[in-house]
Amino acid sequence: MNNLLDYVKSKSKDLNDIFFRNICIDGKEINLIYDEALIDSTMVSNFVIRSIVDSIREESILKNEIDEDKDLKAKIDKKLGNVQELDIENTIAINKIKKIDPQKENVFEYIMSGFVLIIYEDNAYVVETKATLSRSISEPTSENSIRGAKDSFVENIMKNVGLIRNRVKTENLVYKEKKLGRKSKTKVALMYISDIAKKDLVKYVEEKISRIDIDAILDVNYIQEYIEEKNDSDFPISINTQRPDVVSYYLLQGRIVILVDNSPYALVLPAFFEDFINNIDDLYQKSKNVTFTKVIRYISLILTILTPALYLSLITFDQESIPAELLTAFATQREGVPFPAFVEAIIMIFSFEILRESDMRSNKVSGNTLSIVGALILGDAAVSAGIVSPIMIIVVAITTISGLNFSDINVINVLRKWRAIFMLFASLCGIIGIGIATILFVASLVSTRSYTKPFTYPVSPLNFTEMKKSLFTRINISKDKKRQKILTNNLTKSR
Amino acid sequence: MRKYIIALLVLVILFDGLNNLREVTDLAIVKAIGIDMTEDGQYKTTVIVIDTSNKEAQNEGIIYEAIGESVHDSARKIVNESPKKLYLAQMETLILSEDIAKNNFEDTLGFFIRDNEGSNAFYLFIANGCTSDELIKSINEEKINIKSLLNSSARYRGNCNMDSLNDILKTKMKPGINIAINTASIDDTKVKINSMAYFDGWNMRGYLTDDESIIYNLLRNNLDNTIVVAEQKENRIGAEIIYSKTEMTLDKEQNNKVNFNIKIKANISETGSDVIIKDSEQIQNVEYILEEKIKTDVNEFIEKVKNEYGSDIIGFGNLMYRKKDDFFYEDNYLSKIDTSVNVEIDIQNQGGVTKKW
Repeated sequence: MNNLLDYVKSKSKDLNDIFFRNICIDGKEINLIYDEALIDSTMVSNFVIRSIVDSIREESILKNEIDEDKDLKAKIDKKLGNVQELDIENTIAINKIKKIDPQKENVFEYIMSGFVLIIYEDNAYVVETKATLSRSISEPTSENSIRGAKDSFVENIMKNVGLIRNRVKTENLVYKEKKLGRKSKTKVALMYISDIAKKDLVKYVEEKISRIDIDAILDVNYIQEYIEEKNDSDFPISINTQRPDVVSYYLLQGRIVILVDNSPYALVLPAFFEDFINNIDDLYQKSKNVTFTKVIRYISLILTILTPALYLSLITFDQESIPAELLTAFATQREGVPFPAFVEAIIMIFSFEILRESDMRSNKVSGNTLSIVGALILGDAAVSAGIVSPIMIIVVAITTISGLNFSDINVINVLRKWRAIFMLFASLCGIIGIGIATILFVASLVSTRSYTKPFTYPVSPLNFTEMKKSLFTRINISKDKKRQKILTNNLTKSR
Repeated sequence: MRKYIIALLVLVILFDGLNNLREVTDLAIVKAIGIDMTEDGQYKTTVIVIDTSNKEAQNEGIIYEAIGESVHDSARKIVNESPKKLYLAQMETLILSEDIAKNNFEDTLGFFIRDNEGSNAFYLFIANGCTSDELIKSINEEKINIKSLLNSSARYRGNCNMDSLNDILKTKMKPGINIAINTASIDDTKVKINSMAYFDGWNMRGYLTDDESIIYNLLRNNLDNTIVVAEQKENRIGAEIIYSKTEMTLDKEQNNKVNFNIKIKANISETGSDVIIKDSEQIQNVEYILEEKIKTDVNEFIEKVKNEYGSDIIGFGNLMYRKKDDFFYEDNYLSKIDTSVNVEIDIQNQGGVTKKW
C-alpha cells in the first residue's frame, strides 16, 4: 500500500497543513494522514492513535502469552475462533469509520473534510475526527424576534438541522443531503415533511438541484439562483431566514427548506408576497390585536414606495389637490431652494441611500461616526445651507422609517427600485403618473410566480378563507384547523 | 421592436403631462380676490397673495391691484407687479362690490366659472357698505382667516351659510328659486359677516335683515345652531337651537298652499326671573311660547318675501316645479301663495343649576 502513501505525499507537496504520522510498533507499520486545520487533535491522539497502539500492544502481549502457553491458545480458539490480525475497524473508538477503496474514491475529499486517513497494510480507512469549526448558537442578527425563540442558525449545517429537528420531532421530516460543487463539495440539504409537502414540488426542486454543476457553493443564494433560473421578476420568490422557528412553521405548512453548509440562512420555498409582510411574531401575540400591527405594515409598505412620488406630484403638478395651508407651507419651505423639486428629491433620496449602504458595509467603529455625519449633513446642514427644503427631509424620513418594517434585503431592494420608478413617473406627469406606475407595479406583482404558485396568493387568485386567516387579521390558533390548499394535500392541522 | 413601440407610446403619454409642470415656488398663491367697478366701467381687481418668501411670518399677504377692461385682463396685469403668476386654484374668498352684484354679477362671475384652473370651491361675498378693495385690504391688515370667520358665524349664529360658489351656482340653475349670498362689511376697521343679500335672477335686489337671514337659513335647512329669545325682561326665555329640520310640502287639497313643518331641538340657556320651569306643564308652556315666537318670525319673513322683496328665495316655485304643480307657471305666483307654518320644539335641557345626568 506504499503507492497510496506515495500518491498522497506527492499530491500534498504544497499542502503543508497535511500531516503524516507513522506508527511503528511490533513490526507493524501504520500511517495516519490528516489535515491539521480540520481535525480535533485530542480526538486523534486519544481515540485514534491510542486505540491503535493499545490494541497492537494487547495483541502482542496476547501473542506472547499464546506462544508461551499452548493451552491458552486452544482455550481462546475454542472461545473466539481463530485470532485474527489487527482489526482497525473494530479497534478505534470513534463512531464514523469506513474502509475505502483508494482506487475508486478520492482520499483527499476525506482528508479535506476532517477525516483521518489510516493506511495499514493493504487497507485504507477513514475516521471522522472533525473539529467543530463553528460558532455557538446566538441571537438572530438580521431578523428581530420580539417574543419568539432567540436562537438562530449557524454556519454548521448539522447544528441547523438539529435546531429544526428539536422543534419538529417526526420521522416524516425528511433530510436529504447531497454534496455539490466540484471544488467546494458543499453539503446541500433538502428538508420537508413527507406527509405534508406536495410531491410534485419536491420533485421539481430535487430535479433542479440535481442539475446544478458548479465549482463551488458558498452560500444558500447560489442554490436559490439555480432553482429560480427562469424567474425574471424583481420580487424574491423564496424566503431567506435565520430563525429555526420560522423554518419549522413553514415546514409544517408544507413548504420545502434548503440548507447549505457554511450558510446561516435557510431557504424556504415557495414564498408569497404576504410572507414578507407578515411576521412569525404575530403568532406569538394575542390574535385580536394583531390586526392593527398588520394594517400598520401595509400602510408602511404603501408609504415607503409612494411618499416621495406623492410629494413630487403634489408639489409640481397637482397643487390644487392639497389644502391651501399645506401648499403655503410647502411653498414657504421650498422658497430659496435652487433645484427643481425632482432634482431635490433625487439628491436627498440618493444621498440617503449612499449613507445607508455605507452604514451597512462599514465596520461598527466607523459606523457611529458615519451616522453622526449623516444625521448632521442630511438633517441640519443641508437645510440651513438652502440645498434642500425641510419638507424633503420629512419625506425621506417617512420613506425610510416605513421601509424599516421590512427586514429581508431582497424586499428592501425591490422597494428601493419601485420607489425610484414611482418618482420618475410622478415627476413626468403627477398623480396620473403614479396611477400608471401603480398599474405597472401591480402587473409586475401578479405576473410573478413562485415555483409554479401565484405570488400574490391569497389576494389573486382570491381565497377568502386564507385572507381571513392571515391578510389583515389573524385567526385564533385553536380555530385554525386547516392547512393551505395551495401548499399541501394534507389539510387537517388540528381537530 | 414591439416593446420599444409600447415604451415610446407610454413616454408620449407621459411627456404630454409635462406642459402642466409648475414648481410650487413659481406660484403666487392667491388667498382672496376683490373686484370693484371703476366709474368709467373698468374692472379693478385687488388680490391677496400669500407671502411665501418669509419663513417666520406665514399667512402674511401681499396686496396687488390693477385695473383692466375685463376681470382676466386686470388680473393678468398684476404680473407686472408680482414676480409670479397668479394661481387661483387655492383661492378661498371672492368679494364683489354691491355695484357689480346689482348690475354686472353674471358677467363678472363668468371669468371664475370659465377659468379651468380654479375649483369654484371658494366663498362668495358681497361687500356691504364698502368697496371690495377696502374689504380686501382690511382682511389682509387684520390677518383675518375669512373662512374660519364664516364657518363660526354659520355654525353658531346662522346669519350666513357655507355655500361655496359651486353651491350657489347649483341653486341658481334650479328653476323656481333665487339665490341669497353672504355679505361682509367693515365695522370700525374690523371685518364682520353681515346679513345676507338676496337676488332676483342674476341681479342683487337688497339686503335681508340679520334676523331674516337666520330665518332664511332655517327655512333652507342650513341652520345648525343659533339663539332665539322670546318675550321680554322678566318673562324672557332664551334658548339655543341645537338642531333644526324644515320640511316644505305642498298642501294636498289647496294647490297654491305650502306647508312648513319645522322640527327644532333646543336647550334653555337663560330665563327672566318670572319664568319658572319645574314640571312638564311649565316646560310645555315654554315650548309653546318659543314655538309661537318662531312661527310669527317665519310668517313675517314669508310675508315680507312675498310682498316686499318679490324674489322667491325660499324656493316655493322649485317645490311646485318638482311636484309638477301647474300653479308654478302662473304669472306672479309668489304673491298668490298661501302658507301654513307648524313649529315643533323639543326642549332637551331646561338649564337647571345642577346637572342631572
